Amino acid sequence: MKSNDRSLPNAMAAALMVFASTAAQAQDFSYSAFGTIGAAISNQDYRYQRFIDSDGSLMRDTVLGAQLDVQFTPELSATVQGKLAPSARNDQDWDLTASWAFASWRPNNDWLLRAGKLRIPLYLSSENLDVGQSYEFARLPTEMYSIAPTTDVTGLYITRNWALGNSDLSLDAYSGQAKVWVRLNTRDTGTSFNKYDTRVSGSVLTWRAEDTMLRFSAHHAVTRPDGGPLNPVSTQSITTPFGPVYDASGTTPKIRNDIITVGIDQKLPGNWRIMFEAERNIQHDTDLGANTAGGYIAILKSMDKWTPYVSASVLKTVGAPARAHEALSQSSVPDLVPGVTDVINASQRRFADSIPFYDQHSLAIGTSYALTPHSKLKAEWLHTWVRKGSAMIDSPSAGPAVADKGIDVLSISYNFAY
Amino acid sequence: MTRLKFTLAGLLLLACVPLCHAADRIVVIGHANVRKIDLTTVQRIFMGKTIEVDGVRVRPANGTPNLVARQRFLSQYLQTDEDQYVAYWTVRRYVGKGTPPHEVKQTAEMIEFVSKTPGAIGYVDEADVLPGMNVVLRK
Repeated sequence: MKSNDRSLPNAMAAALMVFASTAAQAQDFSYSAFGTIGAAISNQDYRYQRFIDSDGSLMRDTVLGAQLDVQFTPELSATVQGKLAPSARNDQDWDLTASWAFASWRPNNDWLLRAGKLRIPLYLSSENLDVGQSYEFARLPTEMYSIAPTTDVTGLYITRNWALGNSDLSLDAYSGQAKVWVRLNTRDTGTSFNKYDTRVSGSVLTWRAEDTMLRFSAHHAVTRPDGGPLNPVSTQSITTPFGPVYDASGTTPKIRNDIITVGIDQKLPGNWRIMFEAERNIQHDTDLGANTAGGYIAILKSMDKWTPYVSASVLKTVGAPARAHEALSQSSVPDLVPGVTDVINASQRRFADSIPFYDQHSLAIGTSYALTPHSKLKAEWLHTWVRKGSAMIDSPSAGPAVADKGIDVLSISYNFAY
Repeated sequence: MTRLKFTLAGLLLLACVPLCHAADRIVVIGHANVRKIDLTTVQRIFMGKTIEVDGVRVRPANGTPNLVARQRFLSQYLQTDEDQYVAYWTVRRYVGKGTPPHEVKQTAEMIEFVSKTPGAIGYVDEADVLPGMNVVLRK
């Protein structure tokens, strides 16, 4: 096991020491633990979603965590959450990281201020994403829940609540920053991880009633390479003795993204439930980044301890990055001079693979089974159709990128939270 | 004679109905500094949404899951059951919005906590209400 970032375990240890020394003075404190032991296997030899292939993997869904909540005064509390999960820096290691480390000040019913590291509510289940026990899906739809490399941000969060009779309206506003590792897999160079610095701010409006939850969020992110190469801006056509090919044109020191999400979680008569989320990730400053539209719809039926569900989801890269990916995917020169033309063609493949391009949709059928109020078993069959390509797939090194293919994934997991 | 016994048994049974009902009924109690509150406020307090009532910082106390009164309270006041209540707090805890109410193992502990803790709100069986106890809501 290696640490993700030396400062994080240190920060966790320091925070835990502070907590331990003040716990005796604290009004109340509580420990909790959660985890998912999940296995997934697909019918393809290549990897999907980093880890899933025909050999099967425990790494896609397995996570173990613990949380400590300390109430110092009626208004002031602090929370630390640590988790053990596959590394964000490579595909081999497991990292112990601090998902949360924040202090809360709740002066009255209406206001909540939090400072530190916590998860921004980008999706309906952002904050409890790692706690499989808290939702029914074996895996939250990846087409929606993968649009940002991380949602753990260190900063300031302000929440205003309004009690509206039998419902509540809350507005969250936040601003913070995060160091993120972005995974890139190309057929010719394999997998690499590049570090970026992201500053993000946004606001989230949530309305909760007994049977309904509605959420609308808007976020603005500015991302800069942290020591790595600058991002190219666009493509340009260049002429070689063997024909026209593409090369990168220009660089930009930062990329801005505006992300908008909407989510609905509605309980229906007869223990039916419908969930819907959609996103639009608008990319600025480069034609070669993530510029996506996606979402899912799911129907669930609660039957005592069983909650079967079906979901359909989609994720597509749109606009200039989609056009650039398509052009690069078709770009090659005749293999006339070994050692020259194959190098040119490899550069075109690498360029195409470097675009975070998605054109896929999925159907999932699964169920959860509540063993106890604190634990669930889950099973799911997922079928993903990949049309023109998907950056979630590690295409085999020799040959074309995976396109117009179907992938079946079987998943089973044990989830708990105590 | 048989008829008399049957009649007496019937009367005894009828007399028991309100007693049994009273024993099943839960009342919400509060520390001396807590005023009367309505059902919606009780629900919001035990769901972590309300932390202050009339300027008083409230501290809800719940029974542990094995306490029968807890199940009755969840049913009568929160219109939920153990599984749903645990699921609610599992999500709320892991979205960073607080922790479940303080838990006590038995009624005597509940009464002691509420009487000694300013802002405390708990519940007991109707039959366990003692003279001088501050009943803040009775359904």
